[in-house]
Formats: sequence, structure tokens, C-alpha cells
Amino acid sequence: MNDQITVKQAGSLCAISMLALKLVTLPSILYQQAKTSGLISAFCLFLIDFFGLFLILKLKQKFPNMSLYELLCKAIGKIFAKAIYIILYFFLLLKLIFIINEAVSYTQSIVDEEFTNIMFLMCFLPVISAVAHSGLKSTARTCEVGFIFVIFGFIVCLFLSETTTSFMKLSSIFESSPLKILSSSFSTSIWFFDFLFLLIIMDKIKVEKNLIKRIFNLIIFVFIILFIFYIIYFRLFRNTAFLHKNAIADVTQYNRNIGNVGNIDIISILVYLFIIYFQGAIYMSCLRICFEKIIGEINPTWAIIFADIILVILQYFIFYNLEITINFYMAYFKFVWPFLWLMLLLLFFMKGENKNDRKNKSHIKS
Amino acid sequence: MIGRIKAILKASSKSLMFTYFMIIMIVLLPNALVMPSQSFKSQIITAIGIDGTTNDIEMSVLALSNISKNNMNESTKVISGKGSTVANAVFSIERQVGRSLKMGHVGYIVLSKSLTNDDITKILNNLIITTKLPDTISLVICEDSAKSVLDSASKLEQTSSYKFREMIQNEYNEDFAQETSLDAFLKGYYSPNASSSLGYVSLTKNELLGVEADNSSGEEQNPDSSENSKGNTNSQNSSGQNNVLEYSNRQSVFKNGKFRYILSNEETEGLNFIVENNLQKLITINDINSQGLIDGKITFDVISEKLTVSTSINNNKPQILYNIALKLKVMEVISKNENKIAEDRLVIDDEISNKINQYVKQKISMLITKIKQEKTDIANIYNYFESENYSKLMSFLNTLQDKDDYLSYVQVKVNVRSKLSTN
Repeated sequence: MNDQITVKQAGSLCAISMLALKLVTLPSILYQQAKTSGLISAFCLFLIDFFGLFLILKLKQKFPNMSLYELLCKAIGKIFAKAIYIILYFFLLLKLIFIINEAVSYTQSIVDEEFTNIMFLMCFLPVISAVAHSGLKSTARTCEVGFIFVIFGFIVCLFLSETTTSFMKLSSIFESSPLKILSSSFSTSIWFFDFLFLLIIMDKIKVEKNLIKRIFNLIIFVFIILFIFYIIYFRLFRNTAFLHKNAIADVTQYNRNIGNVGNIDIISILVYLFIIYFQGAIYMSCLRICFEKIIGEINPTWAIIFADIILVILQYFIFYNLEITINFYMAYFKFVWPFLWLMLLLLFFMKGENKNDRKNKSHIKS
Repeated sequence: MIGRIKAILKASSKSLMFTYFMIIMIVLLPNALVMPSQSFKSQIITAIGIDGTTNDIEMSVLALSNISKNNMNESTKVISGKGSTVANAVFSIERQVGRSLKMGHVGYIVLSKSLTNDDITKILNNLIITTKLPDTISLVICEDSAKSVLDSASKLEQTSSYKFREMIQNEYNEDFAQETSLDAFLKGYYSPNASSSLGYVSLTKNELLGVEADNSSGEEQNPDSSENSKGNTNSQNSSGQNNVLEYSNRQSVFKNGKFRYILSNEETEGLNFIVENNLQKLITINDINSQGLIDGKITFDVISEKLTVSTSINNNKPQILYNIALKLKVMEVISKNENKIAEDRLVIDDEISNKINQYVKQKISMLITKIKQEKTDIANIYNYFESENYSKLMSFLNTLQDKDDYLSYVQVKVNVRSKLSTN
């Protein structure tokens, strides 16, 4: 119970997860897939994500003190519950690898072209492992405080790009056919599904009043900012979007006026790096929890070291660059998400806790 | 003492992060200590010039040389290399200097006009991929050899406070320089009409125009400049005579990446009235016979321009309307009579207003005629229709045999309103 987080902290974790994978390559790929209609593809995926988040939060309200593991054990038995946890473990691991690859590619383009995967892992893994080792509560508190600076920096980046002197109006967002929009949504779905981690930590969120409303207020706010960012990106780059694979850096750099006052790309670099460090810590915490459920009671240090080793092996030998990672994910991820949705819906339609259970277990804050 | 160190190590060993830090230091520090300085391995490049043809590339770069000087000007050298591809040309230069080229500080690229008979995006795309150049850098076309332009730019920078980069870059110089970036070019190239424009620079002997680039001003000669006649790494002007850099706001226009024509000064003026930019504009009208002037000539400075564009397509007849509101300031008044009106007392009466309208419409008309004739939509007319009347535009384009010829069907209307600035 000491490792419990508040609703506000859970909201911050969701908001950071929503940003982490969407600021670098996604806008470019959306434009390549469906031109300006890529905005509709993104909008649809956001809606699906929000629906998923709604289901998870409803599930939390329905089973306030039960963990996902307990729910799965109740629904399908212990062995299948562990099997699902193994799938979730690898799902989070692959998401983390995707984030790392995007970050390495970003760092190579913006900071140092000789930067390697191993150099990044040497800087990244110890920090996220240390944060995850200190517990979910510490991770959530760090993210809660950091989120304020991150969102402020992100808004500054938007203002920097908006002062650009001339760019054409956005062309019709119905440029591509509905089939193309659908196909674009389908193949870019790996950049979404960000709230799934919440399932793993659902028992650690304190039950407070207006749980859904408070989290959604924050998420909608971040969604609006993110969508404005996409509109700016599409308006600025249009036909040359395929050249601009580091969206957050390019949108800020594109400003003609800042060239005269010196280099302030540092704002977008800091915003992005903070986001991925926070996101890495969130996923590492979830990996630790998953590992503990799969193996049983174990020292958290070993759970984290195991995740680090698997991560380094996959990163170094299989997903060693962004192109390979994106091709793999775009080809295979579309087969994974129907399964995840099925699991979520199955849990949602499970029978709720009875009154006696609730009386014994709940610690609802009035 | 040893006991105290042991105690510190024992206490520190309990911290996982400290242990990790120590391992990293032990593994990386010895290697880092014996590594040569980055400046021995890398050569910073500030500009690129490309001559030759798309299959036989002659690349020149402006390389920053780190020597101690008693002034603040950059010391640069022109270094050249050749190759059948961009990568080969870059490698040829790297082999000569024995360092890898670092392109992060490249401010501009100069392309020789001889390259532009082919699609120059082949070279540009290779350049972006090979050298990882940012696409916001400036790109200009030169009449002569790009190497000569770099050589003159290098001399100019060493002997004066002027920088060629600042002269051409819109971000330094948004009042006077047209946007001529790689990104702007590629945006036009990948647009439906595949038309784009770039700045145009030439080296002349005409002393009345341009900026003198050699050392004849008598300023201090940089030690680098005296070594400019040896081997491939020199900055000798290829013709040996041209020494004046002329960069006007005239634009070279491209279609499908190939050079088509250069806009005249009048056409460029017309273009500046119908695209959104902050460039300074002057309007000069003649034969004014009001307010006491006899055959008067008035020059106005356009303090600000508010441009609103609306489009419509009725019965497959596309029409674009430019509403231009100008705020003017009187700069100069010339009259045949001696008692001419003072500049600050002049008002815009009907005659002056009509003449201004006529002036602006004439320039725009010249531009529109040219771009219709050449099917080069450098005024982004397609984009205006696309954003306001997308479905009608698509059905209109479907009625055309040659979709690229849509400009010739567009009816252009211009409304000009002008008033004097109160400031």
C-alpha cells in the first residue's frame, strides 16, 4: 500500500506516455501514408486510445483493489494469467525498444551523428533502472513534477514554430480516400496503445473521487496541444514531410527568426529527452511488476537487471536501427492489438466485486 | 589514509549507481585520454559549391581553418574534389585534407547553372543523404562556376565585415533577401505543379553593381589569401578577373528540377506583391500632374502590405482575387517646376491612387503572363485553390486534358488600396 499513487500522478503518467512516441517520426509517416488526411488517421487512433483508457478506468472503478493479475487468475486461471503477463512483458519491452530507437535516431540527427545505440543505452538504462528500482511511487512523483516543465517546454516549442513568417493554409483533410485513411490508421497503430501500462498498475492507483474526469481532463489538454503540433507540422512541411523525420526538432528549427538570436533548439531537445526518460522509467517499473508476477516474489533488483539484459540483447542484435524497428512493428503489430482489445473487453465484462469483498478490501478516499 | 580510502570505497560500493559510474570510468576513461582531439579528425565546412554535370561532380567547399588571427573574421579556404557521385566527391576532398567533413555549420550551397539542365534534385537528395545537411540552409544558382563564387565569398569575408551568407539568407536579412532555401525549393518541386524558384548570383566585372569581393579596398590581407595559387586547395578565382559578387533579388525558376528562366526585375516585383513575405518594396510612379507637380515622379516605400486572397470556381472557371492593402511612405518627389510640394505634405489623391494601382497591377500582370506561359506556378496559386475549393478544383482538373496547364484557365483579379502611413 505504500507504493500507491494518486489520480493526479496517474494522469501525469498517462500524459507522458501519450507524448513519448508521437513527437518524432509519427507525423512524417502519417503524411507519407495518407497526406493531410493523416490527421484523420491520427484522430481515429486517439479516439480508440481514449476508449481504451475509459475501459481501463471503468475497470478500476469496478474492481478498485484488485490487480490485473488477480482479475486474470479469477477469469482464466493462474497459468493463462502468467501467459498474458509474458505477452504484456514483451509488449512493453518492444515499446521501450521503439522509444530507444527513436531517441537514438533523434540524437544522431540533432546532437551527434556518431552517437551509437550502446552509448545511448549506457546513459539511459542506469537512470530509468534506478528510478524504477526506487518504486512506482517515486517514479510517479518524478513524472508529476517533470510533467509541468515538459508541457511548458512543449508549448514554448509550439509558439516558436508559430512565429514563422509564411506558410500556406492546410489543404483539405479529405485528400485521401477513406480506405487509405483506414490503412494508415492500421499500420501506424504501434505509435498508439499508450495507456495499456495502466492495466498493470491499476491496483496501485488510489481510488479518489472523479477518477475518470480528472484523468481525462489532463489527457484532453495534452491531446489538444499534440494535435495543434501536428497541424503546424503538416502546414509547415506538406510535400517535404518525408524529409522531416524529427518532427519536434524540425518544427522548432524551421523558425527563421531564431537563427538571429542563437541556437535555442536546446528547448526541444530537453523536452523530448525528459519525456523519453520519464517514459522509460514508467515502462521499466511496469516491467519490474510484470516480472514479479510471472516469477513470483523476487528481489526487484534482479527483475530490473533481467529487463536490462533482455533490452540490450534485443536492441543490439535485432532492433539495431530505427528503420528495422519501424518495418517490423508496422508489419506485425497489427496482429497483436486485436488480442489486447479482446483481453480488455473480456475483463470489462467480468462480474464486479461483491459488497463484502469491497468492504474488506477497499480504501476508498471520501 | 589508506584506511580512510578503504572506508569510502566500502561505503560507496553499497551504491549501485556509484559502482556503475566506476565501471564506466574504468572502461572509457583510458580510451578517452589517448584519443586525438576532434579538430584533428574533423574539418568544419561553412559552404558548398557544385560544378560540372550530374554524372561528373566537381565539389568545392569553404573550409574553416583554425589559425590565430588578430581580427574576428572567419578564416576559410576553398577546397575542391571530383567524383562521379556526391559521396565520391566528398571522399575526394576528405582524402586531400585527411579529415572527415562536418557539415553541421554549412550556411549555403551554390550550384552552377551548368548543372541545371538536368533535374538538380538528384544531386540535392544525394547531398542530403550523404552529408546529412539540414534542409533549411540557403541554396542559390550562379551564372559562372560555383567555385569562383565560394572563392569570392571567402575573400569578401576575410577582408571585410560583409558575409555572403548574410547577404543571401532570408533569416538574417528578411527585409531584402528572397527566401532561397533548400526546403523552399523541395516544397515547390514536390508540389503538384513541380515548380520552384531559387536566388541567382553572378560574378561580374561591372563595378556599378554588386559587392566587390577582392582585397582592393586596402584592408589587411589575411595570411591565407597569399597562398591561394597552389594545388587543389586554393581559393584562386577560376577566371582570375571577376571580382564583383552581384546578388539581386531576381529569381531563377525551375520546373521538374530543371532550370527554365530568370524572372525580370518587374516580374520579381509582381511576385513580391502576391506572396507573403516581408521584403522591402518601392513603388515609383511617373507623370503626376496634381498637387502642384508638373510631370512629377514620386517614389513610395511600402511600409506594410496586407494581402488577402480568395478563390472561387464557378462553372469550371477558376478565379483568384488578390486584395492588396498598402501603407506607403513618400520617399522622394521630383517635379519639373521648382516649387514642388514637400514630401510630408503630399496626399494620395485620385490621380496618384490610380497610378499606384496601375503600377502594382502591371507588375502582377507581367508575372502572371510569364508563369502562365511557362506553366510554372511559383505564386502558389494551386495551393490557394486547394485549401479553399478542394473538391471543385479536383473536378475542374478532371476536365483538363493537360492538368499541368491549369494556370492558363485561372482568371486573376487584383484590387489595390493604398494609403499613406501616419507614422
